This record gives sequence, C-alpha cells and structure tokens, in this order.
Amino acid sequence: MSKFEIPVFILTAVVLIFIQITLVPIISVNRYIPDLLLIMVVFLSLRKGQFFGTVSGGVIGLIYDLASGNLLGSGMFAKTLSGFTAGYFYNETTSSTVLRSYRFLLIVILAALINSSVYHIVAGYEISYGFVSLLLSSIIPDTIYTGFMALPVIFYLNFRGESIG
Amino acid sequence: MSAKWFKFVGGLYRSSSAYAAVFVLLSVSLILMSLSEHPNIKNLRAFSFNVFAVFASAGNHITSVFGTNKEIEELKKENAELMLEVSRLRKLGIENEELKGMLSIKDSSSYSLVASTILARSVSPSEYNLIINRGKDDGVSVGMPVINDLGLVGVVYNVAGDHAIVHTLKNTRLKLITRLEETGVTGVLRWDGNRLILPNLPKTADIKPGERLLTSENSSIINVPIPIGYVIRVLNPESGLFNQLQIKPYVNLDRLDHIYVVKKVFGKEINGIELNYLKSE
Repeated sequence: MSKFEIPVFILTAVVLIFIQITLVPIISVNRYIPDLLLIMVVFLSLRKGQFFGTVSGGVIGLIYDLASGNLLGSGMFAKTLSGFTAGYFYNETTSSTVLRSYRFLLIVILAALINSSVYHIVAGYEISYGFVSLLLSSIIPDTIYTGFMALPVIFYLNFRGESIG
Repeated sequence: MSAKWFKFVGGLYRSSSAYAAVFVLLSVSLILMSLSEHPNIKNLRAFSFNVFAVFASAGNHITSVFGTNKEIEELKKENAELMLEVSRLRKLGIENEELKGMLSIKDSSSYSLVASTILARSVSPSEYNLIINRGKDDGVSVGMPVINDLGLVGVVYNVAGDHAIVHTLKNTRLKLITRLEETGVTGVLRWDGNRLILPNLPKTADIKPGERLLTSENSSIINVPIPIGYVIRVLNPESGLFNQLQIKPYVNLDRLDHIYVVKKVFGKEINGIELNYLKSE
C-alpha cells in the first residue's frame, strides 16, 4: 500500500459523504436513496481485504453519523458489519476480476441487505409490524437502488481496463 | 521457544485482526448509541456538523447563483406567517363556539420567523434530517418548531454557531403531542419508519378521515397550534381497544425549499420540564 492511498481513501470518503447528504437526496425515489458510502466500503473490502473493509466501514459510518444528525453509532454499526461481510469475498489474486464482474454487484447487494436491515433495526424502525413488512417497504427498495448505483462503478472499472489490484 | 511463541501470536493476530476490528468497532458503536443524548456527545456532534455544514453552505452558494427570486422568498415567508395566524384563529374560532362567548385567555405573543435554507438532507426511512443555515448566532435554539407555508416540518434538534440540525416529522426519534382539531382528541404522533401514525386513541372518539391534526398546547416542545396533516384512515377500526390513525402530512419533505424557524418565546413556560426528547439540553 502506497503512502498516499490512505489519505486518498479518506478524502474520497469525505467527498462521498458530502455528495450523499447534499446531492443524493435529489435523486431519491419515494424516500429511497442509494448508499454510495456502502459501495465504497464494499469496494475497499474487496480490494484491500476484510480488516481494511471492516475498519473503513466503521470510520465512514461514524463520519456519516456525525455529519448527518442520524443516531450516532447506527451507521457505524451497520457499515462495520457490511464491510466485514464483504471482506469474506476478498481474494488477493482475483480482486481485480471480481471488482469488474457481476460478482461485485452481487456482493454490493448482499452488503446493502445487511446494512439496511441492521440500520433500520438499530435506528428505531417499528419492528412490531414484522420483518417482512420492513423488508418490502424499506430494505429491498434501498438495496435495489444501491445495487443499481454500483453498475457505473463496474462499467468504469471495465472501461479503465488496467490493473486495480 | 520465545520466537516460536511470538510467531504463533503474530499469526493468530493476523488471522483474527478482522474479528478483533469488528468486535471493537461494534462495541464502540453500541457505546455511542447509548451515549448519543449525552451533552458532551451532542457538543461533539454540533462541532462536527458545523464543520461539515461550512462546506455544504459553500456548495449551496454555488447552486443559489441560479437562484431563487427574492420576491418569491418573501411571499413564501408571508404565507408561512399567515398559515400560523390562520391556524391560531381556527383554533380560537372552535374554542369560541364551544365556550359560547366565554373569554378564552390564550397566547397573544407574536411569531417571529427566521427564514432558512436547507444545506443538506440525511434521508433514510427511519430518519429524515435537515441541516439548515441558521444557528445560535441567529437566535435559533433546540426545540424550536420549523415550518413552511403549509405546516410543520420538524423541530430543531441540535444547534451550532450558524447551522442547525432539524429532526423532521419523518424521524422515529421525534414524538409530538398533537390534537385533532374537531374532536379535540390528543395523542402522540410518531413516525414508524413507514407511516406517520397516531396510536392509542379511544374507540369512542368519532374520528373521520380528513380531520386536521395540529400540534397540541399540552406539548412541551411545540405548544402553539401548527397544522401537521390530516387523517387519511383508521388503521384498525374492527380490532383492539384503541384506534390507530394514519396521518398524511401537509408538508412534502422532498420538495421543501423555503423553511422558517419559529423563534417564539412561548407564552406557556414549561419551567424546565422537558420531554425526554430534549432532556439532555
């Protein structure tokens, strides 16, 4: 890892948090918005490994909680778990290939399901209506939208072509 | 022997570092969640979102170059003031009819509105928050209602120098005592992550869809009548001991542009008794 990588990751995370709070709500569909930060966490997990993904998930979630006014710790909790889960699919030798293939999309979808489920439960969603209701009304739409927004990342990585490992 | 031992520990550390990280980070997040209402944590948050809001404000200045007409802004502010006035007069009118001419001693103080711009939004089904460009320096403080020309938007939750976080109606942590205008039934309005609901109302109350819902004078957060929305349906008319109403808010949070903080010194002082929502302030 080069000495510039960590500052670049932090800067990218801060810019993405800024975009997530200021610009992304403009493209919300019936309150459902894509989670760009989660895509970044999954990307880091698949590129740098489970430990890095877990820590970056926690840090990005914490900064987002601080900047957004959400329940402090809720985003951190959800994104830590998402980064940790995505890290299971890390493989040093196939990392570049995975990030350019449909597998990245599937991992984003899995991580988004975990992120959204955990976030809603810890952030105070009225679970008395049942998990199925939560799943249909919030988790699945959020997940689909986040997965959709991961497609440009895959296209970009394929377009760029060079090694990203 | 010791070299082997260090090698073993090193190997164990590498293989379990992700597990250790997830354990530590989840523990920290749980601690933060439990301490989220602590005054020191709130101060930290005020500082952090103030730093963030500076950048958001800069971005907002850029977009406002294509900006809004000053005259429209003023008209919207006037609309918001009129909405408050109409709401107050409606309430007085209903009371007047009920009391048949008896003098009703009500709050006669005026409303001072602080026009604000939304710098950023945090949107999720559980929490919908706004960051606005007004804060302590403009006289905004925690607990002040935020409105637009249609009705209540939310309540100021945290303030920094020149920015504030507003918890909107669509936030599971905001619970407001509200009153149905015609029947006079009061209840605690809350967002359940999917719908705005008013639970635990007596079955005997003759509540019909379309009835307006206002903030209640019994609320320690907002005790001026501000329209919130109207009843769209009774969720469980045939079952249970209590009725549960679904409320449609007048304000469309996704299309908000001009909002106003009601900078009001309430006529009815609460003498330091606050709801748990604001307990830490």
